[in-house]
Amino acid sequence: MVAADASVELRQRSLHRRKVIWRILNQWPVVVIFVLLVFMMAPYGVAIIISGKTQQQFEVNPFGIILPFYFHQTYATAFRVVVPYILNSLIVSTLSCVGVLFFGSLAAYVFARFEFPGRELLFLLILALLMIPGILTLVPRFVIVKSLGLYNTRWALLLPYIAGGQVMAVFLLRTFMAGLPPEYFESARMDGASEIRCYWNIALPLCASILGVVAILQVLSTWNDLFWPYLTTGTQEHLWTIPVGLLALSRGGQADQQIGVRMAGYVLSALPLVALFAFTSRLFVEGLTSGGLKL
Amino acid sequence: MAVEFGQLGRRLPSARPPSRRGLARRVRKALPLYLFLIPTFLGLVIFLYYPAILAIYRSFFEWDIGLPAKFIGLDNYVTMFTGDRHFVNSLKNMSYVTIWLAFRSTVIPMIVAEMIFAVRSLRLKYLFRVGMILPAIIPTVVVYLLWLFIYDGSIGLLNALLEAIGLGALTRAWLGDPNTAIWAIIFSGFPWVDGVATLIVLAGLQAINWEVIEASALDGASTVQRIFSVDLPLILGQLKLNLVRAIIGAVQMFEIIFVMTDGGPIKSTMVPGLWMYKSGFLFHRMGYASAIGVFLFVIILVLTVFNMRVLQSRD
Repeated sequence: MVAADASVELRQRSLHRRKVIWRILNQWPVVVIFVLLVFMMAPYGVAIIISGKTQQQFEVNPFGIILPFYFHQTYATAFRVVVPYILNSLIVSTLSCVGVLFFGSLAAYVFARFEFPGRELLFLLILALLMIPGILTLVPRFVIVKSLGLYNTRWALLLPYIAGGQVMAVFLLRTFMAGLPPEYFESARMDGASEIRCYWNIALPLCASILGVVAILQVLSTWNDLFWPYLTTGTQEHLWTIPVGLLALSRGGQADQQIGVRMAGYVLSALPLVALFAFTSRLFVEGLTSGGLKL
Repeated sequence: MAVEFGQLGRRLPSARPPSRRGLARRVRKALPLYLFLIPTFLGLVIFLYYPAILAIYRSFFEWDIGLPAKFIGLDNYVTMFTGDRHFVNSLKNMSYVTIWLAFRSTVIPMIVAEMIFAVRSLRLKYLFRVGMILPAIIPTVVVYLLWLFIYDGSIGLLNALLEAIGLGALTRAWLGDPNTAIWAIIFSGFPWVDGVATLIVLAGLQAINWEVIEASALDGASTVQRIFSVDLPLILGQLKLNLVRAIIGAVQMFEIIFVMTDGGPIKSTMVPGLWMYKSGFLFHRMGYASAIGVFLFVIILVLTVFNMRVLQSRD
């Protein structure tokens, strides 16, 4: 009896164990994705390791970890070089982001809430711009910027960024605002709120999440842009944004050609966005995975 | 990007119904509204509409900043295909890039998204989603410069790895050899997972009704069968969006080449976008550069429309 019980229990346990093993094996994608992520991150890991090396250490052993690290030296040097670029990028990205959010949401509000002659036509005109690739407008845009006297000023970046960012912003915001319940606005109007108060105090707060998505898209695209700043401010080092500065750093002309310093510069210039992402990753991931993004 | 054209004409409950008493009157009443649209449209006209029209117009001219433009009809377009070897060669590179990026933005995200979809732990799932997006926030120029270093002939990571696994014979200056340079650029970014594209596909998978998936399991369909007969048709819209994004990006792509090789060695990595920049800004042929821009625009337009027509999604 006891023996039979034990054997049943044993069998059950082995069955259970097999089930558990099967369930774990069935989760092989976890391992594969993990390996993929490791490979995706590997270059940055190598960059961080190299950023702690002096030139001599790098020549002896380029990729291994050798102590002591010289992070304090490489980063101190890189910091002096890169900080002006980071500040320029912060100015350009922040201001253009504010501009896009303000003017874009204003236009979206008008499109979403009012009926007026030419509404459909004007909105279609904005939608059509989604089909215009940047490469088509590059040459004439440069000519226009030059003839407006914006060449080699920060405005050469700010104004086109604000204009260009609004296309996507108006498109996303209008769809969202049109879905807001009209009763909110009607009752506010009854209470004597002006249309501007309706926009500022009702529509904008309700759109916070989509405004956040628009803001992140704008910051990412302006932060990463290399070619336009290179073209319009390439000769003015005090205006260089991060991509232009890093390109110059890698192509020489700078005093510090140590590879450790260069890598430290790369790491430093990635930090502001990593910090931003740390606070907004949920918004960003959810914005992308909330569905609805398809053709 | 589900554009709801149907909604555009919808009358809004709180809005005044349009009267038939004259357009002028209605326009006058709506004047403040137009005022609020002015900043937006002013920017769009100056930096988008006008340049777009100017590009098409000037593509029929011999033109450089500060010099009088000379109308030459279709000469720029004829020159592109008959008198410009570098441009014709660059088209070949552009098609390699386009084919690879089309694959990279559809098949790979599909596989990775299905794998994340299969993960049971919600915490891990979320972690993987964040991990996918993380590389997207590294400045792209940093990524290019890191790969420049990986491919370096003397201190590069790739050669060091090849030496380490006994394939030292294969080492070379990957970007300095005209036979390997374009491929090195195309295949940079290993393991070629586009995080944004993956999350877009994953969103499509998560939107599939769970009952449909359970029903297919009850019918005895294997996971692979389910992926092909249930998932694939339902996420076609997401894959199409990724494909269109990839094509638009691939045809215009030149920043990575500008950073890594500047079109060399001996123009073996030239792409039309970079050739356009060089023609316009280095050789002062802005009319010719505009023509290249117009040509690329037409290619993008044709490929996009083709995509929309051929791959009809089922909703």
